[in-house]
Amino acid sequence: MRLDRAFVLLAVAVSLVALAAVALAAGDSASLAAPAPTRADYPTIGGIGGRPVVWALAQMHLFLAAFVLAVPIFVLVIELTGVLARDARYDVMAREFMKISIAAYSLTALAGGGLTLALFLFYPVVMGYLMRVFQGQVLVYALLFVLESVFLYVYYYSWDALRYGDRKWFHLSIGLLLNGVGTTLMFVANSWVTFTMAPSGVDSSGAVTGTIWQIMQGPLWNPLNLHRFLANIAYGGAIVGAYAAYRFLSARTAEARAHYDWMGYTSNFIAVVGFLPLPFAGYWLMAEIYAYSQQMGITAMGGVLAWLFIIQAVLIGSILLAVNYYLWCGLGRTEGGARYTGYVKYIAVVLVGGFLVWVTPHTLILTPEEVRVLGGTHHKVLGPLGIMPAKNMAVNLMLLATFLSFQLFRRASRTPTATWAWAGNAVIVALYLVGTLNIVGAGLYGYITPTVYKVGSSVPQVATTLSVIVFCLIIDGLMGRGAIKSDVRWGRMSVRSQYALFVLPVAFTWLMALMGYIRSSVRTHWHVYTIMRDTSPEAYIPTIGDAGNMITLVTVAFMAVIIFVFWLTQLDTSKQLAPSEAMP
Amino acid sequence: MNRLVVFAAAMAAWLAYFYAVDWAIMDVQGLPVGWDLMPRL
Repeated sequence: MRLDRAFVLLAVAVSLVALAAVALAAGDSASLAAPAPTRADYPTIGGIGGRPVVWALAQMHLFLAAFVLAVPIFVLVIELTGVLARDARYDVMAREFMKISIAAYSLTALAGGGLTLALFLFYPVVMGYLMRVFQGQVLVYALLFVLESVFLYVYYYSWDALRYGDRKWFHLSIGLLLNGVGTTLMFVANSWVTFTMAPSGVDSSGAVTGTIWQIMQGPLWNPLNLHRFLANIAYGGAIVGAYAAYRFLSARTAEARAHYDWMGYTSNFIAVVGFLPLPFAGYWLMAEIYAYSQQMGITAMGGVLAWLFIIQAVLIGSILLAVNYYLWCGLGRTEGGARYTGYVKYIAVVLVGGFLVWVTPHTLILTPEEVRVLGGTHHKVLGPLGIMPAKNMAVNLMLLATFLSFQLFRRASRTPTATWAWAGNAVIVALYLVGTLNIVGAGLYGYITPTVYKVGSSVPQVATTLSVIVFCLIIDGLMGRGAIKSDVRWGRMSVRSQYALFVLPVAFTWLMALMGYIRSSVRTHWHVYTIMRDTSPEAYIPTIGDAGNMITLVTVAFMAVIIFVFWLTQLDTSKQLAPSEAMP
Repeated sequence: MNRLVVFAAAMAAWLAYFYAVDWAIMDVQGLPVGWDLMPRL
């Protein structure tokens, strides 16, 4: 009980400090115009300008932060599931997920500290202005970071001390506080980013006119918050999935293989759950960017950066193929899975077809000779596949196919006993058919109408995909009552399937760096869009080639960091024998 | 036979559902719905 009281006191103390900090943040803001930096305000060190250094550090910090913020979210859900299902296996797995996150936490802080130093070193004037705008809110961030550390370590290290009964609920509450603080922390940092893209609470000269709340609540803040929140979950799931695959491949006992197979499956599931709604959140963010500034939207999607959305399609297509492949391999874990393997080829056709449509560019980069042979800049047959209605159809059908793979896997271990199961199946088949028809119909409608209708008709497509998923879950859930559950033979997975789990974090990491480059580039030659000009020699959008090199470099570096984290995590389990024991 | 009837009924019900949802979403966005949509086709 003494321990519990100590936690309560701690919670009260931090709440008081938080209130004090909020009061501090609400202080007066200096109403001076944004400074206009000159070339002399951008120092170089050893001939290296600020951009590559800040870019690499920011990206590394973001990768790590996304991971360490996401893990406690799904760990809390898994822990709660373990309590409700009275199954200790969930608890063991949740703790192991946290162990990986803990190892990465200090690296996140180090990358963040490095980024902060680099920003003040290379961009002192810009940072001076941002500090003036955000004032005490920056201290709130620092305080949140302290709280995040406290809750994180208390949550992890009190796991066994608060394991059963009421104490378990106390532990879950600490997890909830940790996630509340972590998510707020990210939202605060997001407000700095969205302020530079779409400033609010300041006049056209950059002088502060509004409150800190008005400054934070810019038009892009909430879309970015949602997008990052979901993406973090998908990303975190993908990374711990790779850890499970690594442990699966190196496991020496059938028991360990079964444990890590189950962990890999759960991680893949988390990645899919975070990933399925992600395109819609991205769509919202993009729509808000267009609504804020048409010019900014066109810079992102209509100019040279549009090519990156084709690369994005390749990466997301790879992710979906890997996820589905893993789920199909999983059908082998149950005896009932065999009855669905025949359907896999049809799902594969939809996925590959959708993938090909998605990667088809609208405008091709052609030589004059090629334009002459082609009779224009657009291919007659493939050109129409380059515009958004085709992409929207492809994406939604691919998401439906992915959900179907998951549904088949789930059904493989359950034989329904409900008398109306045959009718339920008929209703589900009809739902998929009509849903597909609606998605294709809305897409075709988009082809024969002006842009505003095209964009408008994409919303029913999203609603259709979500409807199919929700109704299938409901019908399956009702049909599954009293179902005969057959054993899932965890560990009965091919080695190849584990490599699909390695594809996910690599593709996700590359994708995040790529899209981050676009998000940052849309500011063009502004530090703070339309308010504070970038007058450094690097005030241009880097070429796709240069960006590709940087993105790949940071991705490889992050993979090295993650391998170190995995190694560190499993080091905990290896013990050196005492010299007397080691003697033959 | 029963299976076919249920399937047909389900198809009709889902068509009605998606039509209603599409209608509502397009209407909220101020875009043409129902017969107004036809001249554009």
